[in-house]
Amino acid sequence: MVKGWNSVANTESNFIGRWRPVIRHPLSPFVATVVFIIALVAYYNYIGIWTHLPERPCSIHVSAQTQRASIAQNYYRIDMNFFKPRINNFTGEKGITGSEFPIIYYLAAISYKLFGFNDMYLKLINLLVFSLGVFYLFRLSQLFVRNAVVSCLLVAAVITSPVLLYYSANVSPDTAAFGLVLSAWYFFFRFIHTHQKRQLYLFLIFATLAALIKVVSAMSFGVVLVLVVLDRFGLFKEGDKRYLLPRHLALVLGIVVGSLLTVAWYYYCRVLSAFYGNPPSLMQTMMVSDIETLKDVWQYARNWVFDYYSYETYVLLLCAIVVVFMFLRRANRLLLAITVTYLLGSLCYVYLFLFQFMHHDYYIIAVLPVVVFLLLTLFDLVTRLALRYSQLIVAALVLVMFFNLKESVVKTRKIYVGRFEGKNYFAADYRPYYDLRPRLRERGILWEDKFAVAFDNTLCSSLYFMDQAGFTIGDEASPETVKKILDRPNIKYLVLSDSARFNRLYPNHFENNILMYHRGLIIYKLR
Amino acid sequence: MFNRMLRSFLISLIPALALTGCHDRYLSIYETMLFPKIGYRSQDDTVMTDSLSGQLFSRLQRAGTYGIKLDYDLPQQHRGKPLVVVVQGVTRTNNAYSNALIMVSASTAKKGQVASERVTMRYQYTAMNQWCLFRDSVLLRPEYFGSIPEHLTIYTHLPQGNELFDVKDLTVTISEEQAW
Repeated sequence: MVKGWNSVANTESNFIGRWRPVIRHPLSPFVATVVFIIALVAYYNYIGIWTHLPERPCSIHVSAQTQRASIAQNYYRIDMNFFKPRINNFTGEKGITGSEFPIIYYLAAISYKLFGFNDMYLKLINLLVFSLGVFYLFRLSQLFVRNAVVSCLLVAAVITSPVLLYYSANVSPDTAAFGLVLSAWYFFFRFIHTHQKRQLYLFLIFATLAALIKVVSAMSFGVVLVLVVLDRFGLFKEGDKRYLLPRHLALVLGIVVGSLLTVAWYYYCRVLSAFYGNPPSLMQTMMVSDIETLKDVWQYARNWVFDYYSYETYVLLLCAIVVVFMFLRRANRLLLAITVTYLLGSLCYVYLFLFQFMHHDYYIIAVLPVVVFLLLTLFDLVTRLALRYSQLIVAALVLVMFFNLKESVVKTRKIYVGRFEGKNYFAADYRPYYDLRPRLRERGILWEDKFAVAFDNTLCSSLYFMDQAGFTIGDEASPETVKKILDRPNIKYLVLSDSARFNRLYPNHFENNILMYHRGLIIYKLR
Repeated sequence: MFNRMLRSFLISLIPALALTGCHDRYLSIYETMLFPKIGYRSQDDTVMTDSLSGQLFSRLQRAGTYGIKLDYDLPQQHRGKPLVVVVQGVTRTNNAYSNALIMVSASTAKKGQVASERVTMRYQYTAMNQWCLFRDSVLLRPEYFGSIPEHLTIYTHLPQGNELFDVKDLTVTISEEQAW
């Protein structure tokens, strides 16, 4: 049985291609790994990830971030019962709500238990899972291009995206799911090569986790099923070997089990949300059915275009499509089949969720495997052509990639840093709440005490930063809604960011109950 | 194989952290403390004495007024670079939703003002009618301005509403953000 990195690279296999001679890595696997990790850490440093890692959730989609982060916070504060995730908004009973598989939030809660509460741990765990995927992408590309430098360039081209990097060291689970998908694909290719059950299990575990965390990641299951069908039809037949993919039945059964687990979890989420009356934090399909809405979506979504990738990367992708079409017969069929299937799956996804692309930049992350496999197909093709004709072709690729990346990395950094700067806070500014918690504790207020916060249009951002449970009152709230919230016997405190507006909405005599002032907030004791 | 990968990961972390973790992010280029003193030429502000400490402080109390100010000509070598202006000091107000600001404006000789950033003082007060320490910063990125600033002006400002906006020991630090 073939084991180890060298043996994988130095052994002829179906998916590596029939013209390929045996080449040794110029760098030993250990050195290549070390160089890659140092390069990745330095790259993160250049982009500014380490600088912004300790910051509290902020900037674009702070609402979605705090909603997820509050699940970890409530595991830590209230109950470590994995199957009862809670948010700080108690609109429903006890804040319990349905959520994507909360494994990352649970790990963060364990970190809080060990080291004390700091939302940086959650961001760090997300970053580590994403980085693991990036590392496996590096190893996956090594299987095809067998050159550490070229593999690094491929990885850099994929991850040099402001949106991807912004959400990598962040609370939202999209990049973690993407990292798990990349890890799953690496083990899938290892499975093809080694036929080991262990690799199959690892593929299934990573792919199922990705699907549980973000349901659209289940697309990888669909792609593998298509590959199995194509393999049955002999598309990947090479020489006297009938099928490329080993253990078709085990593969299909594993995917069925993974899919069932995913469906079961999301069904459980719906039941949980319906039972406890809190909105679930899950993806919702939102199609666009008329041309006017489509125009609106385009109007907004085009603002994101260069946040997805820089102009240079789009040019690279276009070139990749052209080159692969030009040398279609020489392209790796397996990689090509994965790219095309992913592309079709992604188009379906975009069709189903098109409306969400208007305001949600991170919805694009689920589509990025198309970019991964398109570039992998290109790099593999170039390596094949270089082996056949001249190594200068690879040298030219490296040169082009270097200048391409040089520009796109600088632009990506600029957009990334811009997202954290004060004037680019796309949501409301929650900075006054950041250090409110210690002052509340000084006054003897416990985290069990319930708060009402006006005005906060999000589900629980202000509550999360204060580390309190309760209710938020948005700009559009009616006097009846406010009355309903304030009449609840467990609401003890009210936080106002604009008392004049609140008084117009809900006339009151709270001015006699002012407990404290804090950075433009007035905190009242209600009962 | 897994052990070898883990070992590689851990070993590589050490030099990686050492290589990337140590550098000064900001290089201070100018620092000064602005405080009203005898002979101080006030703008719209009133110089008053704190009865407890005996220190002088600047007070703004009417809408549309400007107070204590710093004019600074940027040295040639720092023009066109990202700059961070840190303001810190002691402040007091009687308005929970204070409108007071510390403005940082950048200008050129030809075009006049090319950028204006603000420190919102409302976020600095943790109590009413009491002196509160504050520290905040603004980032000036010339690439957003259209032209390279040559001159910085930092001043206190009460744009609207009537309140007592007091400032003392205002320290301004101008630093250059290091590229990498």
